[in-house]
Amino acid sequence: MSSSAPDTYTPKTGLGRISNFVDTRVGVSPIVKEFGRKIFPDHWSFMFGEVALYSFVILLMSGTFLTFFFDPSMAETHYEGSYVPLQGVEMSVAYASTLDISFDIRGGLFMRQLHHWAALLFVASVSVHMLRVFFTGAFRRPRELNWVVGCVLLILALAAGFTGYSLPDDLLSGNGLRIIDGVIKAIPLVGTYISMFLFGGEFPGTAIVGRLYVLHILLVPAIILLMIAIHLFMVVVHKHTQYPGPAVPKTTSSASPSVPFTRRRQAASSSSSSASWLPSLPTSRSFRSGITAPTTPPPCPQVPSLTGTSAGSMARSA
Amino acid sequence: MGDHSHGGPKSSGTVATAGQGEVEKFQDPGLPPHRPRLADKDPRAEKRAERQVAILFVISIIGTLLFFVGYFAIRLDDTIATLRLQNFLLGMGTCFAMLGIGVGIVHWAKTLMPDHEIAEERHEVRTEEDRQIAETMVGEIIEETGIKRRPLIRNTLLGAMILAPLPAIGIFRDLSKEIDPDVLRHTMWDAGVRLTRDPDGTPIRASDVTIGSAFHVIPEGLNEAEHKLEEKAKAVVLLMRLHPDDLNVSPGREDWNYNGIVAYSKICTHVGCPVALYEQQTHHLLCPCHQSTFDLTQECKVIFGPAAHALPQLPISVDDEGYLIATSDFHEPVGPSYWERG
Repeated sequence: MSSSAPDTYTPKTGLGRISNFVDTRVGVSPIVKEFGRKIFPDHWSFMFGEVALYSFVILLMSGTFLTFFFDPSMAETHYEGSYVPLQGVEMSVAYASTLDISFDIRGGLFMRQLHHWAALLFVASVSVHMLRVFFTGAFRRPRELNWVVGCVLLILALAAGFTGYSLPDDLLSGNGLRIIDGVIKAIPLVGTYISMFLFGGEFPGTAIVGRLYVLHILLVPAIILLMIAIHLFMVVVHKHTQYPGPAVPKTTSSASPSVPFTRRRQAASSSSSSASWLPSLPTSRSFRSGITAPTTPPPCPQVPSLTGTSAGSMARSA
Repeated sequence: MGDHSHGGPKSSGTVATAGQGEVEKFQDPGLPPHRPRLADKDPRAEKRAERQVAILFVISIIGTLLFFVGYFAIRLDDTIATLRLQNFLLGMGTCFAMLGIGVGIVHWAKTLMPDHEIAEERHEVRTEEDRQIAETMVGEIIEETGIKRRPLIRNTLLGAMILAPLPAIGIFRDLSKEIDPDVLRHTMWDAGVRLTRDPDGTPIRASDVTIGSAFHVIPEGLNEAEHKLEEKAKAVVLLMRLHPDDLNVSPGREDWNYNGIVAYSKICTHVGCPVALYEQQTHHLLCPCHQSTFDLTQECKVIFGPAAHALPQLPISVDDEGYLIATSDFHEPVGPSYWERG
């Protein structure tokens, strides 16, 4: 790509030279121009999706730490770690390495707990996020496909949770696996075969932990990442669904400026401008989320005046 | 909630007006006037906010130091208390390190950064012009490939593309060498196999089983079996003794118990959890996973919960030395239902 005018910019500072080096090779300026002032909704209910996203980031980081020490083998061993009550007990290598992470690797128990709680928060925040999208009608045209991607993400989150739950090979893992085996066997016609293919024969076999490990650390997170990329791409295409406020045309999306700490500003559950959408909350107008293209008829009949009045005055006093 | 007169365009109260005979319309009240915050007006408040943000960031720094104190200063011995203290310090350190940054930036943004609202135009996802251009382009591409004019190429390509992924599925056949559902019908139990205690494998005398007692039972030789875990997952049994009068024995099962000693599979017929809870007074067996409840006096019929079948009964007797033995395998598959179970 050749530009018509020669590039005459010469950076003055060291940082400027580095930025210019990258910019002239990758084209960062147009990206900044497009996204640098991207506006974000500032109502607190838009935070749950982000909580889910950052939970996932924490899961990736803490999980990567755990893979350095976890051994997904079902070979039998005798525990020789420092937790006295279990010394000499026959167990699988997977469980022994889990105990080692907890008791013999500094910070290991902390990382296990971090991973565990982040996983719980991940599923919980995805669920609450979906409730927000559902009850505000934000799943409607043109966002139906993104709603479906979100549903897939919830299922994947559960799959990631289940496969991880099964890895330590403790009592809970065993019960969880036994239940999933029973669930799979209940599938008509092919259930028995799927169960045997999954477990490498009869329950429990010696393969399942290793197989679930590959699913848990590679396949499922990779698909989740892909789905998150699609999800966020569609959010950029559609823009957010915060209600139009007073004096803001319905075709615009309004919110606070985002730079430089968009993420943190959003983390604040309310801000001075959050009141701006409140007047419209009880009216059906406010539920016309997203792009109301000229071809789309309003999904609801026009608001009766009384509703508008009371809504307006209610918000005044709110 | 506070002074709400600031929000009104003119005066609070009437925001809707109606002309004669026309329908009242909700009037757009317009953007509320921007209200400067304390830090916008008062330089001392601004300084204070600045200090508060800095203090929060310092708290984060202290949190990180706390982490390293916990990590390096505490020597792990074999006691849980030391581990607990270290874990606490690591957690609190990380917590303050992260929260300090997060809360600090939020406070910074809310008190010191500009708080004006901006609006951004929504765009149509696609315009009619774009659609027409795309349609023309796709039409040209299809035309250039000639795929419509050459059905032979199209059809053979389709066939090849349907077949080509099949090896990728077929290659997973060896995930399990064993796929005969018939293995689920059989356990280690057989005529003459002694009932032994789980886990040590010592045999059980009938005289050891007093009324009201319960034993977790495995078949003799299980601990030496080649596929110990798979066999155990099918063969575990609960052994209990009731008054013979309490048992309602159905025809054909008269000799399956021994003086009121009965043995039932411990694998729940719902999804396979161990039915490990014996209620001695009510003679109920309870599965902790989903609360399926089986009545021991009615041959472990399901009286509550999601299980679909009664627990299979293991026919037992005693051998010459007074030890309990099985007289056959279970007469039906143990554990959860599956398609081939019938």
